[in-house]
Amino acid sequence: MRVLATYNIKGGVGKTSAAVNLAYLAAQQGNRTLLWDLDPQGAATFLFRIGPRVRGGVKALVRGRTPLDALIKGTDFNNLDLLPADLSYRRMDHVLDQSKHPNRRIAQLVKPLATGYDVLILDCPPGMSLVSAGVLRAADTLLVPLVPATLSMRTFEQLTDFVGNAKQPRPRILAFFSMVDSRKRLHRETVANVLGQRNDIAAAIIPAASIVEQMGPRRLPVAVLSPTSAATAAYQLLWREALALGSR
Amino acid sequence: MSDRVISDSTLMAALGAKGRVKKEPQQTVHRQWFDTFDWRLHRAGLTLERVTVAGGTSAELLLRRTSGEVLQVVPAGPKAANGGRTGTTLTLDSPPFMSSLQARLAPVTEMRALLALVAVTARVRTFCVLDAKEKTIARVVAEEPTGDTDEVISAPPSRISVLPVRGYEGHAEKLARRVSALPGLRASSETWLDSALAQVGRQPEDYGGQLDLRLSPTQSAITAAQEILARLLDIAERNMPGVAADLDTEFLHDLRVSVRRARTALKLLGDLLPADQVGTLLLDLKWMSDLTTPTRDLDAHRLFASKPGTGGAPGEELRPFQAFLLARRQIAQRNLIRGLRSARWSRARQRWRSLCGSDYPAGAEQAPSASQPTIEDVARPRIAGAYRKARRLGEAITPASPATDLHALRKRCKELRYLMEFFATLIEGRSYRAVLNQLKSLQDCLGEFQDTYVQQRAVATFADEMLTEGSGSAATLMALGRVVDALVLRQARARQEFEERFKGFTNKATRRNLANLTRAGAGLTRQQARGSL
Repeated sequence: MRVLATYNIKGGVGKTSAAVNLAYLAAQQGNRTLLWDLDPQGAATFLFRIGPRVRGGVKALVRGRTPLDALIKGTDFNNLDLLPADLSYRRMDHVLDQSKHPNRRIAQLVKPLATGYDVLILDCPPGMSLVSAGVLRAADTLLVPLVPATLSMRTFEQLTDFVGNAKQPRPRILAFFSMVDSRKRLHRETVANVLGQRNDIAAAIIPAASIVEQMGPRRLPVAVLSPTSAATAAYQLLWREALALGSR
Repeated sequence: MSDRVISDSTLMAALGAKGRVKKEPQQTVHRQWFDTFDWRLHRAGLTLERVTVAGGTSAELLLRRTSGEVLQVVPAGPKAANGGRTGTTLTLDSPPFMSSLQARLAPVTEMRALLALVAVTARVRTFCVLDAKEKTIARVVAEEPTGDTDEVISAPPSRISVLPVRGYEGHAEKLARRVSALPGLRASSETWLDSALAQVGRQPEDYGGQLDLRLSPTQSAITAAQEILARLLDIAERNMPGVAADLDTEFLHDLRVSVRRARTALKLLGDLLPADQVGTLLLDLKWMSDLTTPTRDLDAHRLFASKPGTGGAPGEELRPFQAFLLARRQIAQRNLIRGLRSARWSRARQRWRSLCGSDYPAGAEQAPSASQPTIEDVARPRIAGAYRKARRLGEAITPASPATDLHALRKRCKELRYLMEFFATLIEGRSYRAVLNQLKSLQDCLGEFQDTYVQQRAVATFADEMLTEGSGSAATLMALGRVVDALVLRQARARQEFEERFKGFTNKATRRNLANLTRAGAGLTRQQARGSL
């Protein structure tokens, strides 16, 4: 099972959009795909029209009293299931901290899913926490959306250090430019300066397109809303690049 | 199931409040189911169907549990790909994105081809039942076979299925209750595949390659022998089309095994049947066995040479050898097909059939008369006899014995195994399983010894022929040398293991277990039975 996580220390950079669209594309290709919405805000859960509720809350989940398998919901799309968010996830750090191996716990929890799924996508909350440390341990690939701005690049450096200092096994990083507005000079210049300079940044560029914004009100992946749009093509390219990295 | 079409409005009314049911556009859908000849998917609780929508350009493969739950949907490429008629095969390796399904099914199907079983074309109306968030929580699918094209092989009754969505199963159960209460519908646990197969006179898992004999201890020995032969003839004949079409290697395997088992049955139970016919049929079956050997051996060589790390030889260097084997196999296969279509084989099967008794298929038990023994009278002493023969042969084997001696023992072991399998229902139990395990262990060792011996000789012969033909480079011949080295090592290992395995086959515990098998009902004391082994 490939385990990919969309993650950034910063919020509002397109993590959930990427997670939802990549999960959809993976499933369309015939992969049995599960998206775990780890963010207590539950945006991915909302997009799939599923109730943000996990039986027993985060405690039962982290302590293994409720197996992940029993919490999974089918989405409206073939091959694509969702493990919903729950407001109690805001205490996940605390619950993880009380477990025996806080950093390994998420990896332990997702391991049994490998028999039922080919692809697991973790949609992570922003910040540096025990949750993110656990995700680093569980994921083989970290997909990092970057808004092309100086501060974003600085945050990316912090993130690569954070991952570099994490215990083995560490995920590979594949960053990608997100919410790129080609009308903005700063965006154009940042992308031009960085792209091709580093091998951990994908060629795929996710545009700041209105079709991506439409995901919210329409509650559908971009590829369903507009299969031939530039945004769909960008997510497709990103998915191909992520697949090409292979499992760890 | 229903014999009439249930209208949209009736169905939607049954499903619940207006606005909470979304009807998808009606489609004409062609479904074709695939499984291996011996139903490996179904036995593993799975079904695989290719779905094409009229007017669409591509197909999808649906993997389901036999209960109907969809496990995976995979794009199956262009609609025309992979044939379509019953009996055609499905390959999963063409589109690269199918690897996940292929990886999932490969351990189940192994070397067997996926064959088209049956197809249905139907008008499909899908109703999505939504919750307050407009999320689909169940699907209700009404399917009515059209029966309007040549491709429709089966036209089962119309049906309405309620398909649960994971995590919302309770809703589907409620809906199923409501739908099944509609007038004109009758509840059925039959799947769409079951119904489609029933229409063409078939049912799931109607072939398994297993003997599956249900002999009764009081049955006359003659009818039991006839029943054994009839079952073997059935297996042989059902596999012949697959051998001729060369669909996968297991058709030939099952044909060979049924012929070999029949030879054992004739050899060890033939005295119960007309002697003249038995003798002639034995010769015919020996001829058929010999005819099937080259193709089977070449399949084994090809498999061995294709395994990575074979004798440390890189694959590239062995490619000309693979091509050489393939060419030889094509010739062997042509000869085999000629044999299968020959008048001799047709006459042999006629003879085989007549030996099965005119009243077959009976399963019919013929009561034994005073002069006729029951099968139980016959089975136990013959198993004991076959064991004694194998034991004597094995005890005579020394480290200096030639490979032919081990091969002779292997053949006796096979006979014993077949006898035990014929009479499994009469003798099964703990002792039976214990003896069978020891026997299998010895057979595995003897099989490895003989196979590696045959392969060494074959590779050496092929290398000579390649040299003569000029089809092998020095690198290929050197790689073949390494292949032979690996075979020599494996053969030596098997030879080393032989003694230990044979000990297990003849030790006190095995003899005691065999005595248990052969004494029951034979009026022998435990000591008499053990003494006779």
